[in-house]
Amino acid sequence: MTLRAAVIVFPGSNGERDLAEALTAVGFCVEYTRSDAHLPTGVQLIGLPGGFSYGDYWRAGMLASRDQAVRELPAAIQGGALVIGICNGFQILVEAGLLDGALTYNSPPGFRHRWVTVEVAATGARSPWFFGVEPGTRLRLPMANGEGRYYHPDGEAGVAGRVPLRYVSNPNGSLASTAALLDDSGRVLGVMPHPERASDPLLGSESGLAIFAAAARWLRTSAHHKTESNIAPEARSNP
Amino acid sequence: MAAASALIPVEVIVTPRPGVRDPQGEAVQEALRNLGHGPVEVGCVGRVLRLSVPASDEQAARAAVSRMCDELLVNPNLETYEVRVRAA
Repeated sequence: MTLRAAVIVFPGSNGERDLAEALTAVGFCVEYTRSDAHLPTGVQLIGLPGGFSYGDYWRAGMLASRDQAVRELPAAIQGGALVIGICNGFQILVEAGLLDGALTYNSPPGFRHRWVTVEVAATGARSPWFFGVEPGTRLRLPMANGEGRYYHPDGEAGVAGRVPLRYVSNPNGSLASTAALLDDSGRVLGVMPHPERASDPLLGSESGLAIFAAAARWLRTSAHHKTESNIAPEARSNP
Repeated sequence: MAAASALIPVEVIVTPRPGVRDPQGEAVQEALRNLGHGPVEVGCVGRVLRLSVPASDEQAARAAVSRMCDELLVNPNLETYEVRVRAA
């Protein structure tokens, strides 16, 4: 089975190539799509890359969150697609209301760019993004953000059951050491450090590949259980 | 004849919600103290947006701007806002 993925390119994205390379490494056929265009039909995975978008004016990710491709994400998720937003992509998913809470200025203040260790929490077990990844697994990933501090007005209760990755040592004041967040379905993942920049030994770590490989494994496994009736209409029309 | 729509000048001030940590404010406060401005305290750092809104009166302009804040400009998890109608 051919796995197809789309990577949305925003004005200011700079991580789209890294994301496409990482997805290709685990078996996806990847296409780029502009954020102001329609999403391609029949893709099983959609990625929002890191970098910037529209200068990140006013609030990071706010302007990009109203782009055509982003407005079409709820229908794609409903149709069974997996969605990952990395760094600025995570900010866009939050601004679009597809993930809960907010991302704001790091505390103490400052841009953080360094390698961090994150640990897979038990919550990951309910998500395709951590399919077959043991809780307690540690990943070594680079972070690079100024507005990467996760915040939820309800405190820890607001993120219960939604945090699949936690910082081992909290670098930016994120609530509950949240490094990544899931939606209720488990199919939408926002992650602040960069798994795609840790996807080859030459980059200093390849542990980020575990996330993309898990998604590919889950899609291949779940495909065996799919019948014609529960495949999204757009997927059927585009074999 | 219905009242003609005019462009009403409005200012929106967006600030961090009380209780939400404000690292921008902390950084500016530290810089001011380092410059010798004593125990100055920065309340918060926010944003101002000035715009002209087509509306029949001030109340309609305020309502229109509130909708803009709810739809896009303000993240209620983090921020709060105030709408001021400016003298034309």
